[in-house]
Amino acid sequence: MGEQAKVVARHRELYQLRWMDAISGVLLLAFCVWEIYSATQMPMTESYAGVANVWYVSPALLPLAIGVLLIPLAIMLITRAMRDLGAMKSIYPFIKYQRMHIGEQLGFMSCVFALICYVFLLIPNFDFILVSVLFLLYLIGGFYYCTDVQHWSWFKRTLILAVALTILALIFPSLLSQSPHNDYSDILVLVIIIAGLINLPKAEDPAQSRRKKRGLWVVFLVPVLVGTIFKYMLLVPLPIEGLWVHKVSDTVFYTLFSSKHGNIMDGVSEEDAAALNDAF
Amino acid sequence: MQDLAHFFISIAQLLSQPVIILVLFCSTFMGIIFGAMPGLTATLGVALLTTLTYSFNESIALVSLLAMYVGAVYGGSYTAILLNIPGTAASAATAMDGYPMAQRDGAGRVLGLTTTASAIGTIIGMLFVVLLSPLITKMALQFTSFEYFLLALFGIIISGTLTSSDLVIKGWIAGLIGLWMSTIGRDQLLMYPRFTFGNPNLDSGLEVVAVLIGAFGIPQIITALRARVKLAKPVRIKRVLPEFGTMLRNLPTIIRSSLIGVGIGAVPGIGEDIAGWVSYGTAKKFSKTPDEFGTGLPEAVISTETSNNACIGGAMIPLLTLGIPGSPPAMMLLGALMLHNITPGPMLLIENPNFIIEVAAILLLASVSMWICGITLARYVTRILEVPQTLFMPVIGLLCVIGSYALGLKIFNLFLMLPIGLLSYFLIQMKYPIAPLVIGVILGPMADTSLRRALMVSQGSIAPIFERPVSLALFSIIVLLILSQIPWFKSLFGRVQREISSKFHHSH
Repeated sequence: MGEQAKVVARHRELYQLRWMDAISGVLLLAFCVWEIYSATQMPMTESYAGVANVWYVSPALLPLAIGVLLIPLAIMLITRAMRDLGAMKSIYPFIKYQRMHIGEQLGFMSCVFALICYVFLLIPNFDFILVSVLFLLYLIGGFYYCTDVQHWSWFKRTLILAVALTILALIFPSLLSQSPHNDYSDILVLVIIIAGLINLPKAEDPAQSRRKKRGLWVVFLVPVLVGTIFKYMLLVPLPIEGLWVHKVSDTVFYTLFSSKHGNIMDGVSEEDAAALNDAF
Repeated sequence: MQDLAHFFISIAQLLSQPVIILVLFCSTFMGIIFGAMPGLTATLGVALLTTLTYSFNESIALVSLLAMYVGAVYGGSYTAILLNIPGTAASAATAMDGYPMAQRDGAGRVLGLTTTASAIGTIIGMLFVVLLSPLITKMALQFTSFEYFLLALFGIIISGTLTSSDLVIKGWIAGLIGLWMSTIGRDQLLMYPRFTFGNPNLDSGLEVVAVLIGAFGIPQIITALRARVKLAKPVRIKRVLPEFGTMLRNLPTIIRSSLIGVGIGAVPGIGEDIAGWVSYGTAKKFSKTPDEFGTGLPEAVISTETSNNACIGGAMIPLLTLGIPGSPPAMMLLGALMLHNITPGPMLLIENPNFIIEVAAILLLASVSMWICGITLARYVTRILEVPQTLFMPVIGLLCVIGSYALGLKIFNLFLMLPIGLLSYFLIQMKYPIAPLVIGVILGPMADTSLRRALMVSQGSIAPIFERPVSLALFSIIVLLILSQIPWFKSLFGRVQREISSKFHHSH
């Protein structure tokens, strides 16, 4: 990159940054107004929970101070941004706003989409191990295995799948947030995993084929390993324990390891066992 | 003398347990990998390990967390030396001379120097923990609520001032947003729900670990995946040799850099990266060959690596004595200690007089294990560096999620972690520093309750600030820090400085 191009790039970066500063300054001002208003609704001098209050013990004291301090800072941020933008006015034609590179845009959207679906939609509703496999399959499939072109079609297909899933969940609300969790809804996740595996773009060369093999090992092994460590070694119950945990890992763990220490139900009569089952 | 005896007893006790030795070496090695991998940081490493170790007993957890911290700060030098890409911000200064030196003399020689320099830095930092902690604790016991409030405010302001890469006010804004986030939940004096929107999950406030994992983990994941960072293949290392002769010749640099590291580490909220750069600049200033800096000088590499590891000890001093973390990984350590029912602060030495000695013993063992791992396992670390980020970053995402959930067994923690992570990502894009935001969240409860308690005692008067020397000093520093960023004050200060210097010249 030539010296002139470097200067232009630096100015373009500063120009975009100052625009973002101006916008964030305005948002910050709006936040301050809301924050100060909320703080004024807190007990200041009146009594709360039977305790007479004075202004300096009020829970509003710090929030008010924060809001009051943030306002001049937000104004300084906006003024500084405007001053710098004004100074750059003469070079506006050379530093046209440059959007993020299309590959990076897709990367950002794809990553945020995966994280939001994983945290807000999948984890609270389906078996943790299965949804973690799905999460890794999507990210490792898209970023590690696929080329840039393949990633785009992978993203589009997954988006369609997510929309289909949401429609299904709207039609059959019983699929989500069931208490106690129903293993059958996890079959849906299993089907999506299989669909994802079938949908993986074909490897274009031996190197990509090697990447596929390595990536799939990680996709399937890591969630099982992490789930096992947390559930059986650290004794942390997983967020939702469904199909995989109940039908596979519990069975394997309790058959292989716990049986050596004797079964907790040893010596319990069939009637008592049935009563226990009913109770829980 | 008694302390020295206890120090050796602690070391013997730790070494007599094979589990602890295993945990020590595994955590150090894991730390080196976390430090070496660009995108993974010491803070994230300590955060993820906190969730894994919280069910362990206190000593094992502490050994594991400190070893991870020491290893990660050192590990950043690998990519700095082998690929000219610092693994952590702390090693950015190391890349300046480490990379050209590796090209010229071989990576084994540079890694030998950085490994030994880092170990010496950690040990000197540890000595300062032992020497200074009792003195600061004694002083802190005299502190009133006003001093604690001003200390918290000072931490937020100084962290905001020194960590901003763009405008300083962005650091202050981040700190104040963090402080506001700490007010979410029921306040500790009247139990009044603030900014909870009627959600009972927010009553107990934001879970610090979830905030930390979100703020430090999610932006790294998005950034690494978005750009699909591809690292060049690192050079294979044959042998890493410590050069004790070179180290001895650079003894003044080692001592100077250690002091800089400890000093910067002790300042709340700023960490190893700043220590590395300041030490590099000072070494250049004192060097006989300043022009050769940047061409691969052993002196430069030693200065940055000694100081960033000495910073660990420095960061532990305010953490253990005042409950104020000195660096971002120390923020996470604070959270981890509290999970184990250890409340850092002046009362810690009274309740558990041997705790600081135990921490020092662990730091010594961690630096020895780091040195052994560095000298013997360096070639394996370089192989791990070949694993592409696009393969391991999704796994880190999974660990962030289970880590945030596991500490409170609440799915709601995830609903906090992700939005905070996304907010942090956008703030980083707009060049807002994240450390002041997190330090605001951590020190917020202390600032809030101390301020109100202090005003309660003084019946609403702020006069005690000006009557007590420590609070007056803190108050003056805060005011000066703020004024120093205001343009007209800057020009006034410059004018006064010029006047004084011209008068001085006239008188001579």
